Amino acid sequence: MILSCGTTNDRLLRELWTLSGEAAWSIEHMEERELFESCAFALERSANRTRGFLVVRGRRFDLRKFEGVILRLRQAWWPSDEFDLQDQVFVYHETMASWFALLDSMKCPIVNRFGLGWWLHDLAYPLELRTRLAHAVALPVSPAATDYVPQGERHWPTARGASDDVESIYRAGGRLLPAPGCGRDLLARLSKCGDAFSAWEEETGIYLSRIDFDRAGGLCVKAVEAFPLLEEEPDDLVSGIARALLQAIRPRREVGA
Amino acid sequence: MILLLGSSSDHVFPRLLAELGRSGHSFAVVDEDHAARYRIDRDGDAWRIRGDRCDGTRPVKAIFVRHAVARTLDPDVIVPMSALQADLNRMLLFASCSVINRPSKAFSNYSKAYQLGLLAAVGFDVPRTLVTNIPEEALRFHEECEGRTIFKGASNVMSFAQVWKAEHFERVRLLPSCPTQFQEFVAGADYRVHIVGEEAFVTRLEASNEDYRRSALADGEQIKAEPAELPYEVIERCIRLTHQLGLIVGGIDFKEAADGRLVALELNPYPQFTFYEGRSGQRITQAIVAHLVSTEVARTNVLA
Repeated sequence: MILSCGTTNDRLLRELWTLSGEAAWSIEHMEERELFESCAFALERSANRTRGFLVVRGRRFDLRKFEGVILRLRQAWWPSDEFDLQDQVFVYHETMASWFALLDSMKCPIVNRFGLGWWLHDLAYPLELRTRLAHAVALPVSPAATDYVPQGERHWPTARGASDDVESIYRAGGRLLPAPGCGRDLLARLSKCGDAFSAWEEETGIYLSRIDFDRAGGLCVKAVEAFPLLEEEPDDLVSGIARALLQAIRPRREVGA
Repeated sequence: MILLLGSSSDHVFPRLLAELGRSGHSFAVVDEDHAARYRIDRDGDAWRIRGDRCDGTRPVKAIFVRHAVARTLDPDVIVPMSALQADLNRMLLFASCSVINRPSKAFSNYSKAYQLGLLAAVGFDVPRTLVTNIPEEALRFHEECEGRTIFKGASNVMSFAQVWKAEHFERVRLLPSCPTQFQEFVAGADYRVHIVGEEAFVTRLEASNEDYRRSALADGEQIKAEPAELPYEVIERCIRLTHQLGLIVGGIDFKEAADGRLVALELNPYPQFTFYEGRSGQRITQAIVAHLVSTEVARTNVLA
């Protein structure tokens, strides 16, 4: 069984449900609020054993039974204002810390297996992803290293921007999928970096990303978006991303073309 | 020059300043309690800290950071402090000098159940632990632990460990509102192992309460703290885990049962070592300053 978590208007999730339905795969969905407020769970661990379960729609699922998890959490959830503010803060962190441990303990593919920096809204997290990726594919980061600095208190998911100097490519389930405007030479160059991408994905847990490259003044990595919004992307691109992710989760099964 | 980032109202900060003063090394400070005084500018590859006594020109060759914790919900305090800390964290990500400890490496104890997995992975025994929001699961666990259970927060938000007593059964029904971490209660002495680079300081603690911090901080009781020793392989694992996480300094907590069983509880990436050295006499601050001095770099991209 595959578990998807996020909002029902997320375009990638809708595509994943369509493809899963066509392939008659079992997929359960939970909204972010449902996941954090009412999904019952238990995680038990000792020195040599970890086990646990989730209750989805009244049914108890052993954590080992999940084939994959798709996390599209906008991180918009906040505890009820029935708690006073101090308790809201406490409940929020207890909930996030618990879910991080639970998801970390699951051995199935998780897209994305975000690091604690993401869960904690660390503004340096996307910068660290970018730095590590640039190192892996042997490209410099944007000379103005602060040009992609999230402003405000946290980093919100972004959609691809429109700029003549920027080319974007999606990496999903081990495949490179060029966004409109991405040149063949960039795709050809990155196609040679398969092992480097795989190592970066293994290290960071980011199996779905959009990578923006800056062309002005030489090719360099401008940004890595670990939660790419796909609402404005062409149908075939979104479908290709969803297909690649499902193929990565269930590699031995065909995903319909 | 060594740079200290932190809070002047924290116990660690003045102790480090005093030790640096004694050492004769030059240093600068960013007091995050007065966040509005500072700004961090990017200047090519360099990061310049300006404000207070920092003029953005003196090379910073090593950094100690222990971020301030806002002990209020007042936005007038939280907003500028968060903004400064975000700027500092971005700078620390790119800082070419030694940093004790880089914030991006110091998240693991946010999730205590996750961190227990890390402790177990390096070979430590850990207490049987349950994180749940299901009352029946908590009751089952409590029964399986033969009624000897503690409960505490699942995150690193400050909370004291408490022994599950008769009066707590009623509160179990509140679990669906907030997941909680339950653990088999290992009674016995506490150990704190501070790692500073390749050095280890072992402190043994005895207190009347199951959480010695409660004895000292909330109940105002005296606790006994003294230098101690633990087996070589325990220390070696502590050093290995600290370094694996990308940390230079760490504080690892253990419980030792009467039968000699030693269980690891957690690793604190920003330990309040002054609490321990103030009672045991161990020179942890001195070791940290010595480490900062010995790892000073010749070229740096941070100026203060």
